[in-house]
Amino acid sequence: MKTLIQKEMRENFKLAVIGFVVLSALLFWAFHKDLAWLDTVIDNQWQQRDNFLQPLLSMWVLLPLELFCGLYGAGLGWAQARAEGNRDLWAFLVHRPVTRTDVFLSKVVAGLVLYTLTVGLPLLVLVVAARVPGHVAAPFEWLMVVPLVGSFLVGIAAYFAGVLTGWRQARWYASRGLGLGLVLVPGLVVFGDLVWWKSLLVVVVVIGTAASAAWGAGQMGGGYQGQPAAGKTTLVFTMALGCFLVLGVAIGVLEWFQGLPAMTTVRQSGYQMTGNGAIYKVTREGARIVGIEDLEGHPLMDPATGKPIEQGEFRKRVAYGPGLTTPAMPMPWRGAYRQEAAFFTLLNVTDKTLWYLDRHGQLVGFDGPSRKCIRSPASAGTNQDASEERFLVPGGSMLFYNYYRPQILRYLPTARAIFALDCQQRTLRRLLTLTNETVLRFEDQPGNDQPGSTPSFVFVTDKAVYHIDHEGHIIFRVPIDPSYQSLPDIAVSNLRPDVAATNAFAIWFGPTGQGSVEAGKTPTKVVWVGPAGQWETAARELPALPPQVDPVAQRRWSDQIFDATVPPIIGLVALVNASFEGHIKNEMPLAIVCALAGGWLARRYAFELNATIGWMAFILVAGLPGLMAFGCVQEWPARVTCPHCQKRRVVDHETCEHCGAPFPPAEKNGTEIFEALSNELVSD
Amino acid sequence: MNEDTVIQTRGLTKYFGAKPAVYDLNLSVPRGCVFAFLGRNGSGKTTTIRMLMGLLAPTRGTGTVLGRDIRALTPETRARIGYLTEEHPLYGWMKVRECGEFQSRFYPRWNNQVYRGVVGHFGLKPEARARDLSRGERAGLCLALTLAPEPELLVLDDPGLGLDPVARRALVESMIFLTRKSDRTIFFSSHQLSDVERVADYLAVFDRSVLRACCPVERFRERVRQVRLRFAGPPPSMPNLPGLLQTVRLENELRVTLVAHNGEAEQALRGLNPREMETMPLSLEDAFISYLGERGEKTFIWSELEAQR
Repeated sequence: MKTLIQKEMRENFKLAVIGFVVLSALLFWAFHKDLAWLDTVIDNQWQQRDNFLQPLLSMWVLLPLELFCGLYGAGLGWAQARAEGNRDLWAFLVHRPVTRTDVFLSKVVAGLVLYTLTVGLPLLVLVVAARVPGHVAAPFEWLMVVPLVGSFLVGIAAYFAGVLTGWRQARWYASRGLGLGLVLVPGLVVFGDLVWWKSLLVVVVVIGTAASAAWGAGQMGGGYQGQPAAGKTTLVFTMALGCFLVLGVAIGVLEWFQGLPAMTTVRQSGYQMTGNGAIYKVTREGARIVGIEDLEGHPLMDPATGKPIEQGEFRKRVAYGPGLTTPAMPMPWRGAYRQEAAFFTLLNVTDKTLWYLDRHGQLVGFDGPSRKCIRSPASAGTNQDASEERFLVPGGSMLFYNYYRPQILRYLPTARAIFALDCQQRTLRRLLTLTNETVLRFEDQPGNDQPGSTPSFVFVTDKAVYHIDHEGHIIFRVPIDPSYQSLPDIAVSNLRPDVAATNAFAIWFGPTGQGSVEAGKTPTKVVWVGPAGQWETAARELPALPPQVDPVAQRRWSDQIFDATVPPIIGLVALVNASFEGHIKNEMPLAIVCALAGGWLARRYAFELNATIGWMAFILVAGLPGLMAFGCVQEWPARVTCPHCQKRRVVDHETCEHCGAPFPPAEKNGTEIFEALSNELVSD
Repeated sequence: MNEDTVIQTRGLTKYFGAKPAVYDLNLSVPRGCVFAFLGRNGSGKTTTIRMLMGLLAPTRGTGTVLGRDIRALTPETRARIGYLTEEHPLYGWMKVRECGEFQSRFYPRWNNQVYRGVVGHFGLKPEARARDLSRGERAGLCLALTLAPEPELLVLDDPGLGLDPVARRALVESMIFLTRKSDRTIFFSSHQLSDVERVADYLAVFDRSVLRACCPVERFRERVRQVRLRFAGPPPSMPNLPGLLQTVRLENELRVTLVAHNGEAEQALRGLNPREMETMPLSLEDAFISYLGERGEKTFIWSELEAQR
């Protein structure tokens, strides 16, 4: 095997060098693009909220990297398999005293070593550059290499899919490429940023599946018949997935040709307050408002036109205010390892210094030009008041965006205190200390940069809702009624003093997600707060909202077709997730038809009973993609007329499946010359 | 299976689509012989060899090589079989020396003397790249790689294909040199009947996917005969004889090529009352061409040709 490995290494070395050069160039370009972005940031010209400060998490690095790993891995695997694409060269390779498994393993060992060197070395250099101070002006954590590892592993899955594609023999030529569809699964999982261990699990399963399918293909020179059971099973699974993706693409193309309207969006209702304190029920389809009614059910009319108010006009009247998110999530939603915000958030940039709040709640500064860490604001010149404090990290929507705001003053809560950070002056002031109360939620996007607004901050403890000004003075403190504990959605509406009669604020306590199923059962409560901070002790209870309309019930015909092609095994998730019930209703009829079609095919080609039942069961759970996979992997024998019973019989059975007659011997033409041979004749 | 049989097949059949490439092949190849496997292009020779080597799954039927089922040849069995395919495949980037080194690491019985001898016979330079070799040189190198492991069974798929006469002669000499010294078996397909005549003990002839002949070479030549019948006038029409391959009608002559069976055909021919009857000797090549060539009657009688026009 060592000899074969050496041969493979030598044969594909050029490919590895080319890959190394291309990836290095890509990463070099991406790294410098990030540095150029850093220059924009330290010049205070940064307005967007993208991930470009830490190259390990930069989309300029990750997107090309994942594409490269996928394409290069598949290309390398395919090239190794096709190196012996000529049948005689394949015979030259396998007709030697080694097993096919040895041939497969030697290719894989060499391929993976080359792949690791090609992809791993440039990535290692990138990680070292990010780790060693003076190269990247952003915090570093070893967990940040997770997306790089994810992309690397996707390439390995692609490698095995490439080997499978290179080796597989297929009647229908395009079905050779179906194995590559398998790569989309880990690709999307890694790109979609699931929790890292779930991603890893999916990637490992896919790598195992692709490797097993490729190994099986190598056992029989690319054929299906005669493969070991593991190879057959994984090949069928791979093909079914590939067929499913093909169907999805085909339906997408069909939609594109048909010019279908956009998918019906979720219809849901919620409450909104205008600046004068009036409450309206607003119904939306997606982002579009389709109905605005007062609490008596009358549509809101525009006095200027006498008609129902326009969406834009209504938005002008709305009393906006902060939403309060759950802070300090131990690991942000969906793992989000590809997001800078999962690790740190940029608070501000002053005098070419970047101020970060990392996920551990520590303030960290980086000098932009030298790209070196200057540690905490305290060590960088701020007062010592809270340098050791662990600040709460914003969660919710801010998770996906940096916390950057150009204003100088930032409010930073800890569990028991609120601080104001002035990055310009490098001061951190304690505004308010709480006793016997713990901060639970806080305003993650203070609207302090609104022209003419007074800097202020809203937060929620386990006992009250607070609104403070920039000096730490309490504007209002409204105790939370214990009965509101089931209403976790808390928001504040800032009323407009010019139109509001008496109150200045309204505090909303509602079920999670307005318009959700929960909202259909639980009423929302509103507490008004006066300008002096006094509040109404009796909260206004609003009627429960109608639940959002199930989008499954309103799907387009193309979506219903797509649903029908989804393998029912996926729909069986309905057992744990009620939202899939609509899908499985669509899937099962087609799956049953497909299973019957599979059974008919199996009977037509004289499959054994066990095989027939097995295929029917598989198609029943895999649906149309399963039937297509059945068609792709099987090597369908020809059928000829049986001279005995005149029925069509398959040629790969020794006897006729109808009458049991064997195949007739070759017809004699009278010119046959046969004589018993023996080695006695052999001379010398 | 008899231990004296190295290859045995029973009803071996391979279909490509609805077309049988090999149909109901029953074959036994004795140990220690040189066995020629003949047939026209597309008659099923390569398909048979690929099935025997375990590279192609039969549609039905069974086969054994060196006592092992052809569907499950083990590495140990393959080590005892030298197989040379018709395209003389090599890794183009390897040098001649590297090809030998590469191959030798797989075979414990590798005979470097044999390798060097064959390579030297073809005048190959050790540092030459395989991709730069001529077709003949590639064939020589492949043969060296196939022979050096000293296989018990040598399977050669048209080894002389595309070679010039000198290279082909060198190839045949190498085969003879190496295989005649022990009880090794050579199973080879070829279109070069002169080569077959020089080295083969037995031959098998494939015609349109079906094995039609399997016998000692000499017996084949004996059985395929041409008989010249002279008549006083235009020759009579030829009756349908068993084993009749071809009839050529001349002005006063009938040339009949047939497979002789127990003198029945001769008796039938005498029944035509020829003035003279002469059996002509046929070379193996002539016998083979007659055996697989066009069947039926051809006429070279001017009046009949005119009438046909």
